Amino acid sequence: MPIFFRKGSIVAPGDVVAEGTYKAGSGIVKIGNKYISLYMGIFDIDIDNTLYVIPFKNIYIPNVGDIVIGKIRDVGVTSWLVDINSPYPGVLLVSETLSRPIDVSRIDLRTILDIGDVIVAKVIEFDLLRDPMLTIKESRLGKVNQGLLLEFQPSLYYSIIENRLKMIEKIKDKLECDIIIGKNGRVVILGAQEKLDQVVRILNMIFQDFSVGSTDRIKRYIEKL
Amino acid sequence: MMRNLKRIRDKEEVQLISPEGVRVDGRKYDEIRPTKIQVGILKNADGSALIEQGKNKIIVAVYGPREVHPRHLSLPDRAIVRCRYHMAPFSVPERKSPAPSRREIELSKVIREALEPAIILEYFPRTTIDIFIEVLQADGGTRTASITAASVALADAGIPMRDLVTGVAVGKVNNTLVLDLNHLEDQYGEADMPVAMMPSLGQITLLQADGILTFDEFKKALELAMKGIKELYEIQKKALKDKYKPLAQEFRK
Repeated sequence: MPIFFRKGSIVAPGDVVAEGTYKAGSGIVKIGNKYISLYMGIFDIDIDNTLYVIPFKNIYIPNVGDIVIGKIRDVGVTSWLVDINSPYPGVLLVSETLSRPIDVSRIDLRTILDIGDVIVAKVIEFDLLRDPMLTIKESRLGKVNQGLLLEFQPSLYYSIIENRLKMIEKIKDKLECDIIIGKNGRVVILGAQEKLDQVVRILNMIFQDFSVGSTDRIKRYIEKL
Repeated sequence: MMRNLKRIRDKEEVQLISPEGVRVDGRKYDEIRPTKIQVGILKNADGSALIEQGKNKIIVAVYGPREVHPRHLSLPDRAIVRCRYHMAPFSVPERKSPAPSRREIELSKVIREALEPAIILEYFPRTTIDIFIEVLQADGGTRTASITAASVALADAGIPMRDLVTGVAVGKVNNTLVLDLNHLEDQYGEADMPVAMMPSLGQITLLQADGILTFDEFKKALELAMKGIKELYEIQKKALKDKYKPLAQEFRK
């Protein structure tokens, strides 16, 4: 039962990572008795012999419960179409927007949300056959009236970036701002005012700088603030 | 066309390979052209690659998976692949009309069908993956070079694939089997056989042939193609892995 790659090494699609009996996790297919990587990514292996490949580039597929940051793309009669940085556009119904019922024949939906508006929303329904349904009817969800929107690769968030996410909590305290991270690779910064450029610089480092020693460097940078 | 070429050949035999076995560009019969692949050269595209194989120079851009327009083309159970192979007007010595020719439309289809088996389309129902291939300079074997580059661009776009697809042409010139034909050998040779396959799965996804090969020659030609594909496969993987090296080092901590 040989494994041909070390944990943490780069694999390309088609690389045979192992032969024999293992468990194929995400990013791995079993063809014959070969385990083949599906992505350009980093090879990982669990204690229970499950093989994984964490892709460098991730295509965001909505999941029920995900917090996403969307941009209103189109206004319909009873719903909005929302760009959520995914192959599937989000649908936001009027009933998932306001707590009181409204008469769509009398109120223009553009007065509530217009094209280009940024919203923080939650995915409440998705099954690949129909487009994901969103809601903004919970606390901390809704339209973003002011702030800064940044876009990053939604990749590696929960692997490389996992310990970097803890740093974000620190920035929030130190620079007195709120940072909302959408699972679809978008980030909204609220507040911060004159320290905004510093927040942007740190977030750019956290999400884009993966050069050798960058994690330590960012950590030191935040400590110095 | 073939008959015309034959007549030219009969009049004055074109010497494409010397008795010592040296080809018009100085290669041996089983050598591929010097090949360079660059990954991620286009910022707008989700994935991209540039291949330089001898005098060939081809850019590939991949978009997707994304929503299908027009909508009725989408499939409920899997993604569709759309491919456009296009030659720039300046890619050949005599200006080529920029409008898609019969040949380009056919090559687009052939390239799409060579790449489709590698992509796991079931992961993204109702979407499309668009592949744009732009030939900047052509010197024979552009369809196989396009396939080689396109699969690198697809991997760069983060699209799940069972394997990379690698292509190379084999042919017969002056009764010798040769690997990776250039334009001259393609034009004046006796046979030309483009092959594309998924090397680590050992599956062939494209096999065309023009000219006459005996069964024995065919078997030898296929072996020769596989040798070339193996070499190109390593170049593809190296190009991809080099791009992402810094990421992995940070992960190991």
